[in-house]
Amino acid sequence: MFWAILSGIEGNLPAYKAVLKDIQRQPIRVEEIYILGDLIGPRPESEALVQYIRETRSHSTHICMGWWEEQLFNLHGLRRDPDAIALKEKYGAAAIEQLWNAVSRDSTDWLRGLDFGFFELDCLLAHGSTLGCDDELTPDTHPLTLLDRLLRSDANTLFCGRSGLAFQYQLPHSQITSTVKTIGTPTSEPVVQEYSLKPRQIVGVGNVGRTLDQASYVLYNPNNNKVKFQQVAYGENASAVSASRGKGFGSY
Amino acid sequence: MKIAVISCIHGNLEALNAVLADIDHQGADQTFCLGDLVGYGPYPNEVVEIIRDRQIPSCQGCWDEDIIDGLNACECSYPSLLAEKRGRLAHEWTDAEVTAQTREYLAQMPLTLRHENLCFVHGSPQSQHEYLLPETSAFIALERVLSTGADVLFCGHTHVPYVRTLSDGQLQIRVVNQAQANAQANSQTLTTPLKRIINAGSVGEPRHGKPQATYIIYDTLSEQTIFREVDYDYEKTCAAIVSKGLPPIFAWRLSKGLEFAEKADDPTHVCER
Amino acid sequence: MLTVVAGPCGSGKTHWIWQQMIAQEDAKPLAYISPATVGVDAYRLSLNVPQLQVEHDLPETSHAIRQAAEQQTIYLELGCYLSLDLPELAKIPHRQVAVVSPDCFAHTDWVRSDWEQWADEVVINAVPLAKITASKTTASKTTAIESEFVDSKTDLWQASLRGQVLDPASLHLFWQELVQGAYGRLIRAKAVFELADGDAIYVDHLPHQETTYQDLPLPKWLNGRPQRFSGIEMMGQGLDKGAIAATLSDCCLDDATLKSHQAALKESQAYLSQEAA
Repeated sequence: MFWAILSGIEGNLPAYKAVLKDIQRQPIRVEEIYILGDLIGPRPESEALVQYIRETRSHSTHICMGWWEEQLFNLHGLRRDPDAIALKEKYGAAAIEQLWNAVSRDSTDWLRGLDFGFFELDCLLAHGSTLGCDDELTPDTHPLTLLDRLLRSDANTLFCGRSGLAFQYQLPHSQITSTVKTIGTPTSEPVVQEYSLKPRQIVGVGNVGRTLDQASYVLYNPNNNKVKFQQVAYGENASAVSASRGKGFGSY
Repeated sequence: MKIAVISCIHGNLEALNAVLADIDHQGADQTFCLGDLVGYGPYPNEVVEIIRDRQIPSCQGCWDEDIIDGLNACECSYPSLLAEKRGRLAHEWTDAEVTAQTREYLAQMPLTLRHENLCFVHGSPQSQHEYLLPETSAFIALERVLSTGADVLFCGHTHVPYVRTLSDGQLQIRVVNQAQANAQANSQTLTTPLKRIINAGSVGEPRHGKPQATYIIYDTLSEQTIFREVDYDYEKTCAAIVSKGLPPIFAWRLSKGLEFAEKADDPTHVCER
Repeated sequence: MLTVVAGPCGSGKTHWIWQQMIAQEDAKPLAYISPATVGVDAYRLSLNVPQLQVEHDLPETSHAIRQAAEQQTIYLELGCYLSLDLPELAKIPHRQVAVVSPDCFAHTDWVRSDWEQWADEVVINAVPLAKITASKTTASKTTAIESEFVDSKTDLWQASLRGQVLDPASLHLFWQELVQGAYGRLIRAKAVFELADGDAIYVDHLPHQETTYQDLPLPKWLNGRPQRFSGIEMMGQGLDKGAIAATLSDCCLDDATLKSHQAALKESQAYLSQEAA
C-alpha cells in the first residue's frame, strides 16, 4: 500500500498530468493520492486545472488547501488579510490582479470546501503545518521548531509542501531532562524526569508545477515508513504556461 | 539583582497591595508584571492605576487583550458550559466597568518584555492563550524558550507557580536534501543549552488550593527562585465581588484557591485563537 | 399490610424497603408512598420493581387507607425531616419499622432507645461509612450526632428536573461546590439526572461521605427532551436555594445545543453499527 504525496501544482496541468502518469507507471500500487495545496497560482491556467481535478479525481485522491488558495480567499474577503498584504509583499501588486482573474467564483467556492489537512495512521499531511498554510518548514528550520510542529498533533511524520523543497528531515532520537519545583515541593526535592522521543520526521514533498519541465513528488510506504523522492520530466506542451511564467512575479 | 515577578492580578486590589508591600519588604530591586491586570475581580481600574503609577513594566495578558475590544474568551478555555457562562458574565461585567483610560493603558502594553537574558510573557512567546504547564512536553517547552533567545522565560496564565529547568537535551538529526546535487544523508547531534521556565503564579486568582496571593523572586546572580505566598484580607475581596455584582460563587472559589472559570484542562491543547 | 418506615438521615430506609419488596413471596400488589418528596426514591424503586404503584401521599379517608392496606402491601417511607406523628393511622392496623445505622441516630434528639420505643421492629443497617473526616473521629459519637440534627433550622429543597438534560462537566463542577458548602451546609442530597449522552444517573450524597454515582438501567434518550422522571432532593442548613436553582439551570443544555448534540450522537451510533456490521 503506497501513498503518492504532492504539492504546488500552481495551475500547471501538463506537470500534473505527467505526475499522474508517473504514478500509474509505478510497479507498486498507489492506493491514496494526497495533494497538499497550491493547486492554483496567479495564472489563468489555474481555472482549467481546478476543473480538470474536479472532473477526474477519484475517491482516493485527498486534497487540502494551500497558501495560494488562502490568498485567493483573502481577496474574496473570506480570511484575515483582505488586502492581501502577504501576497503583495512576496509577489508584487500585479500578482493580486492575476490571482483574482485566475479562478472563477464557482471554483473558489469549491476550493473553500477543501480540508485544512489530514491525519492518517501516524502522519500529518498539510500544506504548511497545523499552525497554518504559511508555516514554511525547510531543512534549515531549527530542529526544535520541527519537533514542535510534530508534537502539536502527536504525529510521527509530517508531510508538507509550503517550501516547495524535497527533503527528508529525520529525528531518530531526542532526549531531555526536565526538573520541576512547585510551590508545594520542598527545596531539596524537585521532580526530575527524563524524556525521550521515538523517531519522527518531516518530509518536504517537493513541487509539481513551479519548475519548468520538471515535477517532483513523493511516494511513501506507511508499512515500512520508506520515503521515495520522484523527479518527473515532462515535454514542451508546457509552452503556453512558460509564456506566462515570466510575468509579474519575479523569482520563486 | 533581585527581581520580583507578579502576574494575573485580575482586579484583586487587596491582594496586589499586600504583594507590593511584601516585595518592598523582600528588598526586590525591580518588579515585572506578566499581565491579566483585569478580569474576574472587582477593582480592574484601581489595579491598572497602581501598575501604571508605580511604573511596573507589564506585558499584555489574554484578558487585557480581550477587554480592549470587549471580546469574550475562546470557549476552549472553559472546561464546562457552567464555567463558560461564568466566564462570559465576568467579561461582560469587566467590559462595563473599565474606563477609557484603563482600556488605553491595556492597549499599549507590549506582548513581551526583555531584560538582559530574561524574557517575560503572559502565556507563551507564541500566544497569550497558550498554557505552559509543568506537564507540557519538555521539547515544546524548550522550543518556546529558545524562540525568545533568552535563558529564562517568565510566564503566567496558569495561576500555579513553578520552576522548570530543561537540561541535557540531545537531538539526533539526519537530513536528506534533494535540492543538493549529491543527495546524501547528513547526520549530526545537536545538544541544547540549559534553559528555564519560571511561572509566577497569580496574585489575584490563585489556583493552588489556598487563597494566598503567589508571586516569585528571582536572583539574577545566583539564578535561584523563591516562591512567595502572601496573606491578605481576601474576605474583603470576597465582599466586594458580591457587592459589586460579580457572580457570588467567585467569592467562595477565591476563598478556596480555585479557578473561577477558566482552566488549563489539557496541556497538549494549543488555543489557535 | 401497611408498613411505616422511618429512621435517621441516610440510614438506608429505601434500600431496606427494596429488599422487602423483592423478597415478598405472596402475589399482593406492592405500593410505595413517600410524602413531601419530588420522587427520587420512588423512581429508583419503580425501575427495579416492575408494577410498583407509587403514590405521593396516603389516601384521604381512613376508610380508603384501610381498604388499600388490605388489598396491597404498602410501604410508607417517612423522610428524616418529617414528623412521626400520624394521627390518620391511629385506628388502622399497621407496622412501624425503624431503620437505623450504628453510627447515626440523629432525628431531633432521639437515640436508640427512642427508636425502640416507637418501632415494632428496629433494623440495624450496617451502612458503610467511607471517608469519615478526621475531626469526627476524634470527637465523641454524641458530638458527631449533634452536628447532624435535623431540626427546625434544617432547610429542604427539592425540584423536578423533568425534561432537563445536564452537561456532565457542569454537573460535576456544581456538585463539588454543593458538597463543599458553597451554597450552605449540605446534609443530604440525592438526585436523578439526565445527561447529555442520553444516560440517566442516580447521585447520592450522604453526610461525611463521598458522593456515589450509579448508572440507571434505562435506554439512552436521544430524541428531544426526556419524558421520564428526573429530580433532586436535598437537606441542609442555610441553603441558598436561589443560587442552587440558578446554578443547576446553568448546567442544563438549551434546545439548540441539545438538538445538535443528539444528532451527533445518533450519527456516531449509526457509524459504529455500520462498522460492526
